[in-house]
Amino acid sequence: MTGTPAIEARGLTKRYGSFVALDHVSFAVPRGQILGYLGPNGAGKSTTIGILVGMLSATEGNVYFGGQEFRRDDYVMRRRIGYVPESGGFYDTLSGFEFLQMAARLYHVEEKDAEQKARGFMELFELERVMHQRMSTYSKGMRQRVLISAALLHNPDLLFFDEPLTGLDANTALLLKDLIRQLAQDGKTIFYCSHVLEVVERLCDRVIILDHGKAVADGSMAELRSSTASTTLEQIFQELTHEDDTEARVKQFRSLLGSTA
Amino acid sequence: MKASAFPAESGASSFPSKIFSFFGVDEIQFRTLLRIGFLIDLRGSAQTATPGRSTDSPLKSSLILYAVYSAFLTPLAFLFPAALYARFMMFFGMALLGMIMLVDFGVTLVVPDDMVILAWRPISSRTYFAAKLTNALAFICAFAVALFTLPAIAGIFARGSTPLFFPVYLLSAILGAIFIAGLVAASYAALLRVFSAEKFRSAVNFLQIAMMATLMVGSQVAPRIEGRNAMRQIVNKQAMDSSVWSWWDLTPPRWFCAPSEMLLGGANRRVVTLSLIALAGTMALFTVLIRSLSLTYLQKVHGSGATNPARSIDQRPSLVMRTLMVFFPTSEGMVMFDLIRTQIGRDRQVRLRIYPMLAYMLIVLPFLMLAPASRGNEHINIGLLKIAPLIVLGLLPGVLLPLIPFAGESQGAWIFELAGLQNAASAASGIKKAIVFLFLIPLALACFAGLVFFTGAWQAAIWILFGLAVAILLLQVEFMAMFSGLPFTRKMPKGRVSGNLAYILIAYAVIGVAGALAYFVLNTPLRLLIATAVLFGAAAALNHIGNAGYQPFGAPTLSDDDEPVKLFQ
Repeated sequence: MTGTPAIEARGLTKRYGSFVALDHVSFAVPRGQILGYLGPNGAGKSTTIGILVGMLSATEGNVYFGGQEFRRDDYVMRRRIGYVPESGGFYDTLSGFEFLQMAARLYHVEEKDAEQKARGFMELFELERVMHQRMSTYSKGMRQRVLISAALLHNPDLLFFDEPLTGLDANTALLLKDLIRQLAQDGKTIFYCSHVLEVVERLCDRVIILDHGKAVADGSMAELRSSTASTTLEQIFQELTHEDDTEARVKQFRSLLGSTA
Repeated sequence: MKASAFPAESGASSFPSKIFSFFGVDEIQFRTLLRIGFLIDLRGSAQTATPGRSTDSPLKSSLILYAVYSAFLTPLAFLFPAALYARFMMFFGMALLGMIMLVDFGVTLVVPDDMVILAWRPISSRTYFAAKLTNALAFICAFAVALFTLPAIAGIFARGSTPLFFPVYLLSAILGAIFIAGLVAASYAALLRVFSAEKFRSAVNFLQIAMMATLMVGSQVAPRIEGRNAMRQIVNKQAMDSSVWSWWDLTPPRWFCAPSEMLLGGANRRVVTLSLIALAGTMALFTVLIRSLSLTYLQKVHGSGATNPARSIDQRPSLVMRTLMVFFPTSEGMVMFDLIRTQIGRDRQVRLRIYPMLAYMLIVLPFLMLAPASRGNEHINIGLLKIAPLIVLGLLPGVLLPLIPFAGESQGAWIFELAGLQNAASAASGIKKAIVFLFLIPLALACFAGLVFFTGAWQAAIWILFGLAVAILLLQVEFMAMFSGLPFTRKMPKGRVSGNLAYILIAYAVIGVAGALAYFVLNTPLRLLIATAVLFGAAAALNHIGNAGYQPFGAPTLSDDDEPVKLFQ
């Protein structure tokens, strides 16, 4: 299955009435690749990820995992997915330990193994001190660590991260980035959605930039640099998503502040 | 479509596994989801949780209050023959449980959090639905036990009863509760199949209103007619013949009473048939629910929770809201109205506290219904029945006001600490209007629908208006007494529960005086209309005085030592 992409989207389109959130987006991600998926707010990133993990249905187009079409009611294929959502995604009245146990049991991990795995992940992410406290008492970073653990503990081969570094301290962020690289080396395919361009630039093998529901760039950093006049991902992003007049907008913002003072 | 993403485990040949397999439910996932559901429900509010401590679930107090409520009704066992008592209680109990299920089902089965937590995992729609339904059923059964245990015990002492009445009646009542829960669940699941995900929420709202109205009217009218029959039976000193069919046998409470009737009056074709309908109907309902209606449930639930950019771009208030906005000239008033609406609509804990209080409020009705008529051949005292809306409406403010959250209890209360409240009078007015528009007026309409059968439209309208005037006056008085600070910002006093009961007792006294005056003195339409106008005038004056007493409070200000924040250097 070497030549078959691990994740493939063909002509993905999502419409809400007359509003087109995603407009015929296609890409293929080979096994073991880290794909950075970028775009301004409302560009269609979360919609894409929602369709890829089976939370949303596409108005048009299909998703394929390892060459096989992924349908939303295909629960066998869903076992291969691990997903870290951008926000929410946990029951705050449960403890982190209970939440991870639940996540493991939903994948039929034996009771004892589920407990071991939950404990192991809590220790790995330095949460053993609070593991039996409710998640409502956790900081944002602590919750994020639980969510990452919940996405990984059933050992999926397709990983979808939506802003995974949100709230993480510098050390945990470093740990996660190393972990993602290692996972990719182990043959897992990573779909990495983020606004933090520096991280995407350093971490991802390839980048897709989305704007107004359409893919406006797709390639490795070197390919993107050669196809545009820019040298950094930030500049490329600005150029492709028309955010090139930030100075003027800052001036406008300051004048607005002045008028209300 | 596969029922489970996982191969069958060893031990899958056991009886429970076969049942799960028959329904296409993944046993391990089902158990996991159910356990988590119970943990979440039985634990208190996440907001008030502190590390290492658990908070009390509102469930316990609700169960106690239901038991207390049912205790008030048990004296009926000494008035009615056992079979009629069983029917009467079953109507009330099932109507009440239906209301609980209706309002609570949305948050039990359609949990917005589930979307990002579970939607992408390999959980089939059937498994998810089965777990959520079982979770809801467990609660309904707990409520049914609280509501029916004392009446079942009292039923042993009813005329013509036996000690076996207790287990048979209680089990039938629990089965009835399961049935009514299934019926509401089936309605929701059917809606999910018919409507698109985006329209599901609106469809659910309309269904809730329609079913609630049916239940309200049903719970008012049906027991009255049952009660009239009961009175006839008592007057005629006749034993009830359980073999006679009636149109009422089409209603579910009659089916679930049939086993008790069989016990009391012996087996005959009618009670055997109705008992079989109760049993087979419940089983068939749940088989259809799990095997057919739940097929697309999870996907639809997820879809309904998904954001719809098109809606957010073109989001206008509904026609009802636009009409209501006329009554809210200030933004503070409208904000408070929305806050109350959201709080009661979405906060399960607030609603769990409301149900038993509402039940407590309705308790007066059966006693009024049973009051002997003073003249003629009437079996119901129509004169007293006219006062029923006054009692129900008058008690409502005292029941609702204490349920409005204290500081720290509401998720949105922090905004007042941060932003202050510049127009406190408008905010107070908004809260009162929320209670009038969201509760008093709908309840008045439901009372009207019940009363109109007995008095005609004109009389019913006058008496409802009078009841509404007393209720609004009480609302003003109780609001002034209870809220030294505004809701959401007021501090929780000690002895809160006993304090609430005191307000209800005061309301009882006022309603008693108003009811007696209406019954004995104001018993012509003209007098009643004049009294209504005077009461509305007094309420308006109190509203003005009360609202003016609320002082605005500002946002915390920076002290001189605080450095101003520099956005740009």
